[in-house]
Amino acid sequence: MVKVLRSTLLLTVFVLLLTSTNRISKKSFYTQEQWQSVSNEIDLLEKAIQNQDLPEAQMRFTDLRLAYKRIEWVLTYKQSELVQKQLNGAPLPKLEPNAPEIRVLQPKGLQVLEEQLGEENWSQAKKLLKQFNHSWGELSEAYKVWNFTDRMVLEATRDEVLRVGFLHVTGFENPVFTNGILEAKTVMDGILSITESYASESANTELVDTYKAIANSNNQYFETLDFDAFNRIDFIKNVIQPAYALLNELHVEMNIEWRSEVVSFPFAVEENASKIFSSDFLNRYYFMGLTAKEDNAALQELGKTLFFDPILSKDLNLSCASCHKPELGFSDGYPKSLSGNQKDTLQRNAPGLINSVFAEKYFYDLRAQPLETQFEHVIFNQDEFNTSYLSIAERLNSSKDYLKKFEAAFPNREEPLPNKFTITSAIASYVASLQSFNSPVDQYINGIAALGDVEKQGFNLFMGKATCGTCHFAPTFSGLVPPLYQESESEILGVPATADNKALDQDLGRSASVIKQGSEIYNHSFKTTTVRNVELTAPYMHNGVYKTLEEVVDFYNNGGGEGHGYAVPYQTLPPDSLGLDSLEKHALISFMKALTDTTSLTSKAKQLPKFKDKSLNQRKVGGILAD
Amino acid sequence: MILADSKIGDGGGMTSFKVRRDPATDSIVVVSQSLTDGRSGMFFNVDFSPTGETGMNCGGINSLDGRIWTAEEWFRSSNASIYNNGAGVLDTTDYTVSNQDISVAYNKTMKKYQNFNWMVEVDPMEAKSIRKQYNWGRQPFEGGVIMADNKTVYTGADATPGVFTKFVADVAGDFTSGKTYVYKHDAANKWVEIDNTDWNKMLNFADEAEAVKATMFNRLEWVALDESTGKVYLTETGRDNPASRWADESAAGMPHAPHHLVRAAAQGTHPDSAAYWDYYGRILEFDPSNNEVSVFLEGGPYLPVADLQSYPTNHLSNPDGLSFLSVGSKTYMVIQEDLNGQSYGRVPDGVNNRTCEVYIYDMDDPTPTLAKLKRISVVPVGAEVTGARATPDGKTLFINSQHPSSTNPFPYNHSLTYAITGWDNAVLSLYEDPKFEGEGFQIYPNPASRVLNFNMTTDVAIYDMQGKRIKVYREVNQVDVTEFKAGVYFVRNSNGDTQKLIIQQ
Repeated sequence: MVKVLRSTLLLTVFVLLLTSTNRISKKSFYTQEQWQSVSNEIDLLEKAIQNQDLPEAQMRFTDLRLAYKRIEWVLTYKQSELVQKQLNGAPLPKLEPNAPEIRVLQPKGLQVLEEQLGEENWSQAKKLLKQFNHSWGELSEAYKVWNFTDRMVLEATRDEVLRVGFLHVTGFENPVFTNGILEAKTVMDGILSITESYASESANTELVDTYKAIANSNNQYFETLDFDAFNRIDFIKNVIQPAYALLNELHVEMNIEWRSEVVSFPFAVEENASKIFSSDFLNRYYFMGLTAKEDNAALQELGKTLFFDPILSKDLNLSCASCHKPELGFSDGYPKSLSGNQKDTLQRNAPGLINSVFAEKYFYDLRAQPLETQFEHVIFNQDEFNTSYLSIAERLNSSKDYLKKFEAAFPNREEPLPNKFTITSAIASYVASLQSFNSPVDQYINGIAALGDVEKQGFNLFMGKATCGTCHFAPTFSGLVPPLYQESESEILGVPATADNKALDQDLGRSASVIKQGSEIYNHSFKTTTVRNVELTAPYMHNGVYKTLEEVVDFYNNGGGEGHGYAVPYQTLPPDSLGLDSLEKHALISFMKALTDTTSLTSKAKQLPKFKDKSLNQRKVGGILAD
Repeated sequence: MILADSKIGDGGGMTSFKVRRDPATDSIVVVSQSLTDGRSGMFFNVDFSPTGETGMNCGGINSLDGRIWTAEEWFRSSNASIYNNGAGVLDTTDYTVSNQDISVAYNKTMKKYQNFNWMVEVDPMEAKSIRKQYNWGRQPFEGGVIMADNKTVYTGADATPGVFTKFVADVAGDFTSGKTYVYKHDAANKWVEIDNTDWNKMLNFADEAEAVKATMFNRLEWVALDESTGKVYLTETGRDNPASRWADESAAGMPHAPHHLVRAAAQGTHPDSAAYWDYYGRILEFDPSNNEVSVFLEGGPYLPVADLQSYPTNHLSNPDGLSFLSVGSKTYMVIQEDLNGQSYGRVPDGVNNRTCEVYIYDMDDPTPTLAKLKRISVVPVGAEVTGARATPDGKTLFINSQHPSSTNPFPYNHSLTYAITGWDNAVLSLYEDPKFEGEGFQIYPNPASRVLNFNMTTDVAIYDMQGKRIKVYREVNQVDVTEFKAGVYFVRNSNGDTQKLIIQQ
């Protein structure tokens, strides 16, 4: 009887599920004409370059970018690596991946071409355009057989919505004379027309109404194309966020398969997570060895206990919390952290840990990946914990209290004993739980609370004129790059050794980290950490050189190291002034302070497990350096 | 087991362990043993202190009589780079060769980094290095092969330009003396000798290869011998845009391998032009009977292709590891990928992770094509698959999956060696054509465990017993079901026809 019922049920479910589309090739969304128009613009620009006619070249270049932008969503979805390398990557040198030696690849594509045009370097511009044309020709050939399913269209357009909101409007791709706002409008108009065509096919008429409301808002914000005046925060709140959510709703409504039903690869962005400024948006487990299946409350609690327990250090003096104090956003307030002897300092500043899970790599020099491997650099360091996983495991093994906690945390493991895997999983579980997406800025964007005008102005500066958002990407405001959020960037700022800005700090950062990054293009390159909770994590920069956010903003406003006259050949920050006046600086800092949110993140472990060896029970929560 | 060794550092190394086959299950078991130097256990770090440490170990040579050489691949040009801020080789004082085996190097003193990038013979039984082949030249070695005469050695250099080299021993089995050559396709007898009694020439081998105008390849990787024919195969893994890497040598007179000229001509360009691309690499065949190198199988396909259906199903990119599997009288080439990137179809559209695959090819078929490759294994995201080595009985293939993405769930975040056993029984089934019975939408085989075939090209969704849709494929006639758990499923095509599918493991 049960069996019969089940098969009847199955049939019903099938009928519902298999109405799903089998329409392939939404080719009408990107046409042969669009491809051709890029080729045409290439020809026109080539002539302008031939004639060394700057105004004409600028105009043609702008048109070329716009033509390219109309089909960018297709290209970056299908061939993101190729776009980065050949068509429209950042104008910065990179290292050739998987090469038999360290080899620097010079940047190619539109952004570096724009720089060369700006400098009227005609021969170089000609060469770059030729390369672009060549890659374009290859792609145009490939495009003839590209197929698009509805799933791909919806994924690609969602990516593009994130790109518009968090990259295009920041001027990220427009180093000299083109306008990110005009490009954002062009792209957004295209994406919205695709959205409209899906909405109109949907049986749910409410979705058409939602579309119309978004399109109206979109038109409203783009009434001005002025870069400084563009209202970024409300554009994100009223266009980007709802458009992203609508594309997800359409995906569900039309019963189209999700990426996880097609490929087994993990992605950082959660499927069908509609709120961008929320902890639902990114999948913490993408960034960790620990899986969602293995994680649980007991594991997180064990991790918290270990985090505050100096049992991890050889001399029982240091715990993780010695340098990562909850009340300071899990930083320690020192320019550089104190070593175990409490006299010397460690190599660099201790970064805050809230949202730290959302990173491809760890440490200012990006030497560790993923989160779980970060700990061993502390555990084995003679100036820090000065011990090993084996010694720690041996100690923990002698505590019945601890063994119980390990058993509770690993209910499915035959031997839930302290070892490298279980210890790192527990600490990672706790650190990854330190998430904060409920600051005043998040609340405003999610329509929960109002935000002051000064903070809004600060956001617009951060994402615009002050160029902060071109490296501290929303919504994590760190170097985790949209729209995939899978790569952590580092930047070369030319940070000084002392706060009087006399000379460059000699720390080489990334180039001295791992052997295959040992290139001068990474000299003085450091991880872009998050700006969330930055109010709590002073002093700032990898060496803690600046005590206040005012000093930090001044440093950027004055063009970083090069602006201060140091030789920083690969600086990734423009050397000229940002031109921020004191009111603007104030607004910028007010905005950053509106990113503070430590709700339920400040509690410490209440007590530490007991050991048979009484001498071990003298240790204090957090170790002797806490408080 | 050596847990930490300041001499080995993190720069490279090698592990030796002994295995046996459990006769009851045919599976492979690691055996405990004691070495004569007192070490005991199952896994042993190979001790390289007898030869002045090692680093950057890659492939190497397995001789027919069971001897092993490791290749020190990634070319080093300073002590700083091997020291690596204290994370690599810690002793960077000059090294003097005290081993008298190879006369050209005896008593020679060199910079420590110069003692890297040799082919090194090791004793796997004692987990100890024996000697560096200073007489084969200092090169970015990746792989090599020793021929049936036990005299002739072919090796490849992983560089652009990379040269193809040969060593011929004076006495079979004694590789301490003999002659060293580089391949030059446009020379009368194809091989040009480099005087291996001249220490400077051995130290600066690339300069010598340039001086004699050796043929240039684009990153040679593994070398493998098909024992049934005596022919030698090499992987040339390719490099997206090699021009800037060999333009200087080209100007100095080194010739391009002819197939690069042909490829470039087809692209309307020249190998020295930035427009020339070599995204996918290829497998080369070398025939010792006439000393000709020819292309055995090109990687790809490059878009556009005539037959779109075949496009992402078999895409061979950047072949690297290469070996042979013999089952009875049949010989299969085993090809292992190490992707240089994710663009141009090397991974499926919309995917931004690299995944490397292992293919086999039936050597009885004289006309290799990409469609005839059979995919036998895929390694975790980010990993390179390499080192495939078959047991002589044709039952087991050992494969290395190295440096996977560290965010993969345990244990897929670890480098590892895995064994696939059962080729003696199963290999032929890979080549069976699907047998469909009945009308309408049909699936084969059923039960299935690896590959599921359909009798039409269609969209397909697979549902579990609860009716939850778990997988969707578009326009396919074959899908890989390896990742499905054993159980009952339903397969439905776009017409709504449904078949019950049983997955076995």
